[in-house]
Amino acid sequence: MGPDYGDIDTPYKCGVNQVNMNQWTGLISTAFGIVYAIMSYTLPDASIGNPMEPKIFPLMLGIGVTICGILLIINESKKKSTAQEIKKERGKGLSHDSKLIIYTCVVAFIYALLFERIGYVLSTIIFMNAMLFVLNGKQKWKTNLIVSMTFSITIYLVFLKLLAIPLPMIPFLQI
Amino acid sequence: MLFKKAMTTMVAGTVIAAMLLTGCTSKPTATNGNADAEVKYPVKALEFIAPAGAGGGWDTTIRTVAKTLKDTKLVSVPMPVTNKPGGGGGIALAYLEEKKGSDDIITVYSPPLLLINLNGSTPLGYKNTTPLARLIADYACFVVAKDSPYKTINDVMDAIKKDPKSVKVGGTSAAGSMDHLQFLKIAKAAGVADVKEVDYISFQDGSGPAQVLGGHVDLLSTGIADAKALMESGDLRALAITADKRIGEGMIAEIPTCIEQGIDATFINWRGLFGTADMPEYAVKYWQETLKKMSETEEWKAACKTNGWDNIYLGGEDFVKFLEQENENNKVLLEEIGMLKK
Amino acid sequence: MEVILHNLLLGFQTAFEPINLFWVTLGGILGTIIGMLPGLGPATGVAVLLPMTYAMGPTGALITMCGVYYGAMFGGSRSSILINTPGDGAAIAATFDGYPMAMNGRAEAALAISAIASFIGGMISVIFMIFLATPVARFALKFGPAEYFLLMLMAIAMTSSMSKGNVIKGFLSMFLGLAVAMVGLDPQSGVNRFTFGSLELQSGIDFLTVIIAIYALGEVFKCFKDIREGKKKMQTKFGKIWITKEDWKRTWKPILRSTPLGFIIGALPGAGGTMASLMAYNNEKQLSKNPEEFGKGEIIGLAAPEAANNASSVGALIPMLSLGIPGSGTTAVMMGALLMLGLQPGPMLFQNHPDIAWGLIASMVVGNIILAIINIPMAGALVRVLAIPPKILYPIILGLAFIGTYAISNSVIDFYIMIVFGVVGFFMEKAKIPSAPFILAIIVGNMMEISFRQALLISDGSWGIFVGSPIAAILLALTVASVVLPFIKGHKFFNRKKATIAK
Repeated sequence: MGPDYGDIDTPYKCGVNQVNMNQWTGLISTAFGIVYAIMSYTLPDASIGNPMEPKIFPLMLGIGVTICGILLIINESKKKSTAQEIKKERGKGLSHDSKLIIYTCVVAFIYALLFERIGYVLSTIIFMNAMLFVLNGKQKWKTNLIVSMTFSITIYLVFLKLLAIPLPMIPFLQI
Repeated sequence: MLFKKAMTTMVAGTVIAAMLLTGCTSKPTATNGNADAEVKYPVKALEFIAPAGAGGGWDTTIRTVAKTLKDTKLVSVPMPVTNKPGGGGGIALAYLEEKKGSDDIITVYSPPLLLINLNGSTPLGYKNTTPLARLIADYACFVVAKDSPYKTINDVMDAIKKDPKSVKVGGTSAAGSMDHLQFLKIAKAAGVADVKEVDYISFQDGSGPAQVLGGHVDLLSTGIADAKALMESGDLRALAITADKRIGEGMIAEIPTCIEQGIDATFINWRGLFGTADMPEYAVKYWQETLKKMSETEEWKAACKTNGWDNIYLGGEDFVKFLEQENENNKVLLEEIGMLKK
Repeated sequence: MEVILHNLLLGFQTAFEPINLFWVTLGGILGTIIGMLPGLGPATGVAVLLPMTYAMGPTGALITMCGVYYGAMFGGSRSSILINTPGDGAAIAATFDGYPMAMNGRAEAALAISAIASFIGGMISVIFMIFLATPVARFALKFGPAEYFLLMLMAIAMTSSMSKGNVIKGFLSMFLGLAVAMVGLDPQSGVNRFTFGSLELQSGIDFLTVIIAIYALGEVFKCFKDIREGKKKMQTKFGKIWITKEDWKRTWKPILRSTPLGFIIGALPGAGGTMASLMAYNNEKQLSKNPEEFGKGEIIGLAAPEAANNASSVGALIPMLSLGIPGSGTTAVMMGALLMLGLQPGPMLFQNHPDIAWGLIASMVVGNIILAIINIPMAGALVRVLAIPPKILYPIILGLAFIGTYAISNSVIDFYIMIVFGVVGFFMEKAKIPSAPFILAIIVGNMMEISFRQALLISDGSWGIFVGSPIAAILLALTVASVVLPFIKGHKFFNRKKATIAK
């Protein structure tokens, strides 16, 4: 695995050395659990049967998440997290790249916006080229274009002809 | 590198070729419309929408309509069916609203169209559609396990009057929707004072018949089709149907109506076709005529028979009036159990 | 007995007619292709091919649908193994050890064992079905809401407590998944929960969207850098699609153990293949001498769920054929098709149309054999997907993920949900929270809550219903045991004792 680049959420860089990943998880879970439980409690009453009925189960879940979160925090603070351990954990980071993840999300978001507006084939070609551009490189734009066009047209035809599921069409052209 | 590339292209090519090949053999003639010289509309593929997932009542109805129209050659353009499930039909309703005024979208609805609006699931309702025709009806029936102590629908109602919690009613649709309301409507007519107190248990995965068979609920409020097989084998016993007369043949015809048993109420699970709001005049006219013709064909009658549907065509203005009437009735009932959204 | 054999023979005559052989083969191939596409499972496969079957007549139609059903079940795990993207819920378990096997360069063995296990699971289940359909159907009726709740509780509790590493995180993952499952319109009361006014969220978050997000998107997020820098290598040499003798020696017992489990779970209406395969996986992990190998490419971890998965798909036909009640999404569609063909599935089907009913059962046998035969060469072609450079393969996986998501409900809203869960999945991976309990909880969450409330409604609020029947009591005991056991096993005292006993 490669070194850790541009972490979104590694707390060590913020200078909070003693708080490790598990404690962060615990803290976030606890917060989520509490918010969830409160939201469950404030759900509208059921108009038939026991008015509390739709709330009980989610309430239990909210409490469950909270308990797990607290247990995580307690467990971690019991462990003596030595500097070595922290180092070890850092070394094991995944080979992700936060910029690329954000890029993918933005591209996917734009894809979703375009999907029904300009049709499946066009939007998919744009989306795949955007992805291939960063992964495969702009030098290989010919390959990128061929791959994306073949893919989108094949899928379109498979859905339309084989599965009889019409996908959004290119406006005006109706294909 | 060259080898790898060639390899990749080859694999991709084979897969594509295989897919295209299978595609062609399976469906040879699904190209865009060859316009009929006499009728200018429709000229291109229509969009038929089932507002629920595959396999349910709405899906079956619209697919049967599409098949009949094609078989009888009443419509010659392709009519692919798209499933738009969600929100008890509300998602499809939102889609219809978005496509307001288009002439090529046809969808199917039944009482939930009114109910999801009345109980507040969606602000949209039948007013956001163009009702084209009511086509068929299903009726509700109330069934119990064969060894149940209840012999008639009145036995059930008497038990409920003594203790509303003593009879657990199961059904497939959500609380406050069809299976629930159809039972409450009959119960109210039978003189049950507080229908709100009756426990209704919704088995949305369709396991209702198994639950009543296994003795987990006492009575199942359902459509005839859903319980038919188990009634024929004698595992389930029907206490009443909600039609105004006896229907069907054989075993189904032996089920007494509620009216026969002294409860003066009926419940129709009608199904009809709808277009988008502001559907152009020519399209509305075309569909009303075509659907009327279709409802009179032998093919349609045969399809109704195999599905156990009552062929109750009602077109145009009359259908709209019918919907208004139904809407008022449901409003009263929902008000009673406190599920009406004000 | 003789009657059964006679009827079965009659069925085989029907199934072996050349035209029916053709249909089952065609159905199998189409089903495999559909099953491989993420998001498209057997239910969609059968539904979209319905129009085709109208022209065939009832026997041909049923046989084709069976082929599609089986094909999709076989195909679903192909994409799990090769690109870590399960075709549908039932194929999730195949990613746990199937994908690591492929990454370790054992893709051929993974594909082979998946086909072999599926074949054996399917075959044995058909035999079960021939002789045990009625008693099994009657047994399934004993499952009321309380028993369903406990069954699902057991499944997710087992999955959570068996999670890699931290048990607390396993349960955290489970609770989070259940919390997500609560989104939507509550069918029992009509209250909107956590929908924030969105109509689309009323029908809840589809678990398939979450699966595709966490596996397909998650995999891309996770390895982005390696992909871009070309560190993630493609496979260039391919061996024969077969397993070694050693593999077979280790897997045949797990396969035989998982088959009846899958069959019975499948026969319970609503339980389904996902639960069957995950329970089989947990079961084998619990029985294994070295459970730490699971998740790293342990072949047993692939064989067991695959056998259970196919066994459950046979079991799911039982409620449909013997009671006329659909046991799963796929059988619901098949039932609709039967009705349209003028056949009423249910107890009378075997009496009124023995040729069709037995023809169907015989064609399951034939279909299974044919699928096993076509799957081995097909796997040989498919495995070459791994020869596509990751730089190109991963954008294609993304493209497939999106179209699969769209196919679930023809709505772009699911794209946004998918992006969100892709990010959630990434953070879960970073925090080392296992994803299996999360996903299983989303799948069963709704039904679990509903069953819980149905049970209490039936019992007028008395919790006694959860120990009210022998089945309920046994399920509860197993659940408690599965939660407590890992703690005891981890305890030093217990381990030492075991070690001395072993000596």
